[in-house]
Amino acid sequence: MAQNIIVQVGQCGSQIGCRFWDLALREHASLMSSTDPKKCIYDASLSAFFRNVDENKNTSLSYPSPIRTLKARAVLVDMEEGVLRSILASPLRDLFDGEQFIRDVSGAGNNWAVGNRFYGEKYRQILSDEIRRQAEQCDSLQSFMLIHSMGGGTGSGLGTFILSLLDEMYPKVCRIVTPIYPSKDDDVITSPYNSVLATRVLTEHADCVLPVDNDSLIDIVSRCDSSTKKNDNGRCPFDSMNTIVANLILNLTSSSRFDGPLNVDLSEIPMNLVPYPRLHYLISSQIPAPFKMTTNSSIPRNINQIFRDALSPHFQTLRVRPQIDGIYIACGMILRSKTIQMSDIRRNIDLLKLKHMKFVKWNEDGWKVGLCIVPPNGLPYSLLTLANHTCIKETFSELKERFTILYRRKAHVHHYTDHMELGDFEQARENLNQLIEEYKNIEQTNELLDTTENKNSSIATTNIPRLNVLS
Amino acid sequence: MSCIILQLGQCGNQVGQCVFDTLIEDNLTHSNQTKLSITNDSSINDYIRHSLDRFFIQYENKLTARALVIDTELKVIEQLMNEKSQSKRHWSYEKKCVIEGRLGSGNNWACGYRNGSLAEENILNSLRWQLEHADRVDTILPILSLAGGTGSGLGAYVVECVRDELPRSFLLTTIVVPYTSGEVVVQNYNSLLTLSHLYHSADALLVFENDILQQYAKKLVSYSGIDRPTNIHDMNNILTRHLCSFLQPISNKTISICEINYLLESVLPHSFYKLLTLRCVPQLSDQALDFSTYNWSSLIKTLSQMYINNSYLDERLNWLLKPNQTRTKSIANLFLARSYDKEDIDKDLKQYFNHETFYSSFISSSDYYYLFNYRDKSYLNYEKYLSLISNCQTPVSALDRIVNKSWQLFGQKAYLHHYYKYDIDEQEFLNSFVQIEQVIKSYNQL
Repeated sequence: MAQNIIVQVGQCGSQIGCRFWDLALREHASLMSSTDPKKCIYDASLSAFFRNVDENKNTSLSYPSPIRTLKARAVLVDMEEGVLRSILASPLRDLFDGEQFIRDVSGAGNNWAVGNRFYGEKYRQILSDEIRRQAEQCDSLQSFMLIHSMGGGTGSGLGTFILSLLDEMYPKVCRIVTPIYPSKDDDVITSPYNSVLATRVLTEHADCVLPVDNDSLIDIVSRCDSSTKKNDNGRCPFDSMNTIVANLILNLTSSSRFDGPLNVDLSEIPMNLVPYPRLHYLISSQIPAPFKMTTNSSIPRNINQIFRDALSPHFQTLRVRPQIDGIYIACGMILRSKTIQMSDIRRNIDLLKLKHMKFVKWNEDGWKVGLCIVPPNGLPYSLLTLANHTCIKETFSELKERFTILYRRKAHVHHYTDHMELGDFEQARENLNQLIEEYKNIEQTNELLDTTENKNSSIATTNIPRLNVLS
Repeated sequence: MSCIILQLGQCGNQVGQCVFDTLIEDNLTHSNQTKLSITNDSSINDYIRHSLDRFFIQYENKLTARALVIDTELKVIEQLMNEKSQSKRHWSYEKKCVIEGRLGSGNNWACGYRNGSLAEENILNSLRWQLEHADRVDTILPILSLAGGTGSGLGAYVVECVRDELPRSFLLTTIVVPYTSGEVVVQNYNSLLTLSHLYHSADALLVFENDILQQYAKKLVSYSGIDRPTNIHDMNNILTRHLCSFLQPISNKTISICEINYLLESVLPHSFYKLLTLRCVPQLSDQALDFSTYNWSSLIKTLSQMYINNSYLDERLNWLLKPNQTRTKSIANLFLARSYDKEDIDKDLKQYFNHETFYSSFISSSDYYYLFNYRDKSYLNYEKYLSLISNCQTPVSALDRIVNKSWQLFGQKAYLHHYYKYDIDEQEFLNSFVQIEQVIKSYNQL
C-alpha cells in the first residue's frame, strides 16, 4: 500500500496539518472494529500516513500488526516557535519525533526571499536529512503532500524551497501541493509578491496543485453555517477553514487508502488530469462542505442533487466561475459512499456533460472517476471534484494585478533584494503571464477546432488528418 | 500438453481466477458431484484428465493452477490469495508464482513497462518453475486489459519477455478493450501502445470489448428477472464462459484431443492477421437454460445472422440481411461444437456459412471454415454449445476508435510528458500509430 509524507511549512501549514492529523486519527478510529486499543490492528490504510513503532525496541512494525505507537509520516517546519510549541503541548505531540520538527526562532518577516533563500540555504542539509529519513521508513513512497500558505514568508518561501528540494531528491515521487492563497484584503502587504514568487516555483516543480483561497473558505463557512460569520474584529473562522482543507487531503487520498470498486491511486490523478506539465492547477470542491464534525442538516438526500451541487461555485475552494467562462480540460471525481453504485455515477456524469460542462474537443472523455466504499467520518457520503479548468487564469490575472500595483512603485522591494535579484521578480511575473497565455491558448485552439467542425461537419473533429497507409 | 495462463494486472487476475473456477465447474457438470472423481465413462474421463492436465499441476490430490499471478498493487492479489477465497476453491495458486509490486503503475503504460523490466527476473523465475512442473508447454495465455497501466504496460513487457524466452511457444493473448466512454483518460494511449507491442510479439490476439460485455450482461440480468445493476462479476463471467469454451479439450475427425495451438493454426493462416473474436450461442442466463431446448440448425442460423450483422449478441439482429449483405468479412472461421449428442451439423454449417461473401477473396473455399467437436460431454450446463472463432473485421472498429482518439490527443501533445518521464518518446508513439494503422488497413481491405 502506498505511503505519503506530509510536509507542513509555516504557521498556516502547521495549523492545517494539525487539524489534518486530528481528523485522520478520528477517521481511522471510527473504522476500528473495537474500541479496545489492544485489539486495534495497524493495517494497510493506516500505513499510508502513520508508522507503527514499538517504543521499547525502537523499531517500526509493518502491517498487519497490533498498534503500539503511531507516529505520523510528517516533517514540520516553521521559522517561528509559536505554533510548533503549541503542537508539542497538545495531545498530538506523541505523533511526532523530535527530529521531525525543524524550527528557528526569528521568523521570516513575511518575506519570501528570507524564507526561500536565507532559510533555505541555512536548513538545506537538515531538511534533506529529515526528508530522507522519513522516506527510508516507507516501503513504497508514493507522494509528498505539501501544505503552506502563499502570502507569508516561511510557508511561501521555505515551503517552495522544500518543493524544489523534493524535486531534486525524489523526482519520480509525486508532489502534491495545497497552497493557501491570501484573500484580497489580507493584512500582509507584501502577500502579492510572496504569492507570485512562490507560484513560479509551484509551476515548475509541483506535479499537481490544489490551490485554496481564503476568501472562498470564508464564503463556504458563512454560507453553510449562518452563525459563524466574520466577526466585527475581523477574526476569521480559521478552525472551520482549516478543517475544510484538511478534509480535502483526506478525501483525496481516500481512494488509495481504502477499498472500492473503482480505486484511484494518487499517481493516477496527475496522470489523468494534467495533460500539460505546467498546467497542473486543479480547482477542488467538496460536497457536503466538511467543516463541522457533526452531521450537517443541509446534506442533500438525492444522489442527483449531489452531482448538480458538485458543479456549483459555492463549494469551490477557489473563487472562479467555471460554468461561465473557460473550458474544462479534464475533470475528476472521487466519491466516498457505501450505497451509490457505478451506474448511478455514470448516468449523472453523462447528464452533467451534456448540459453543463464544456470540455475541450480533443479530450471529451477527460473524466476520471473513483469510488471508495468508506464514507468520511460522520457523513453518509462525500464527493470531491477536481477540475482542470481554464477559468483559473482569472485567479492568476487578479494576482498579477495586485502584484503590479505594488511592483510599479517597487514598494518594499528593498527587503527582498538583500537575498535575491530584481530579475527574479521579473521572471516570476513573466511566469504568470505565460501561464495565463497557455490557458488562453487552450481556449482559442478549442474555438478554432469548434469553428472548423461547424463549417465542415462531415470532416473529422480533428484538424490534423490521420496517417495514411500507402499500399 | 499444458498451457500456462499469465494473469496480468487487475483485470487479468480477476478473469484468470474466474477461468480456473469455470474449468473446474465444467469438469464437474457431467454429474451432480461436488468432488472430482473418475467415472466409468471413458470419454468423459479423457476429457477431465486432459483438462486437468492442461491447466493444473496435480500432486497428491491437490490441484495447483498453471498460472502466474502478476500485479503491481496488492489489493487484488490479496483478495485472490487470502484464506477465505482459498478455502472455497478446490485448487490453489502456487506462492512462488505470485509476483507483486507495491506502488501500482498509475494508469501509465510507460511506468508499467518500466515495472516490467524491474520484475523481469522474478517473472522469468516463476515461469521456469511452471515449466519444470509440466511435461510440455506449448501455449501461453496472457490475459490483460488495455486501459490501465499494469495490465497494458507490464503485460506488453512480459509478453515480449516470454516470446524471447520461449520463441517456439504459441502466445495467445486475451485482451479486454475498455469502455468507449472512458474509465481512464489516457486509456487510448495505453491501448495503442499495448496493441502495437502485442501485435509484434504475440501469435494471436483474442479481443473482448467491455461495451459489448456490458450489454450482454445487462441482457442476461434482465432475463433473470432480478432487478439489479450489472457489475464487473457478470461481465467477467461472460468472458470466462466464452474463453473456456475453446480452452477445454476438443477433437476433430482425425485427432482425438487437439491442442490449442493446433486448433488456432487454422484461423491464423497469415502472420499479419492476428485478431480473433469469439461468438457463442446459446446466450441464456442460467435460470433460463433449464427451460430451453435448442436444435443445431437454429443455433447455426442464429450464429450466421450474428455474423452477418457483425454483432456478438443474438438480440436486435436484422434478420432481413442476406449473406451477400454481410457486414463483416473474415479470413477463416473455426467452429467448436459441444454437446452430448452425436448429430451431424456439417450440412447446416454448409448451408449457412459456406457463402463466398463471408470471406476474403484470397481464401479458397476449402479453407472457409473448420469444425471441431466434442460430443461426449456437454459444456457446463448447456445442452448444446457452439462457439465461433473468427479472424474477421469485427474488432477493427474498436481499433479505429482507439487510434482516432489517441491521434486527437497526440495532435495536441497532451499527456505526453507522463510518458517521457519513463523514456517512452514521441517516436515510440509514432511507430505504434503506424503499426496499428497498417493493421486496420489490411483488415479493411479484406
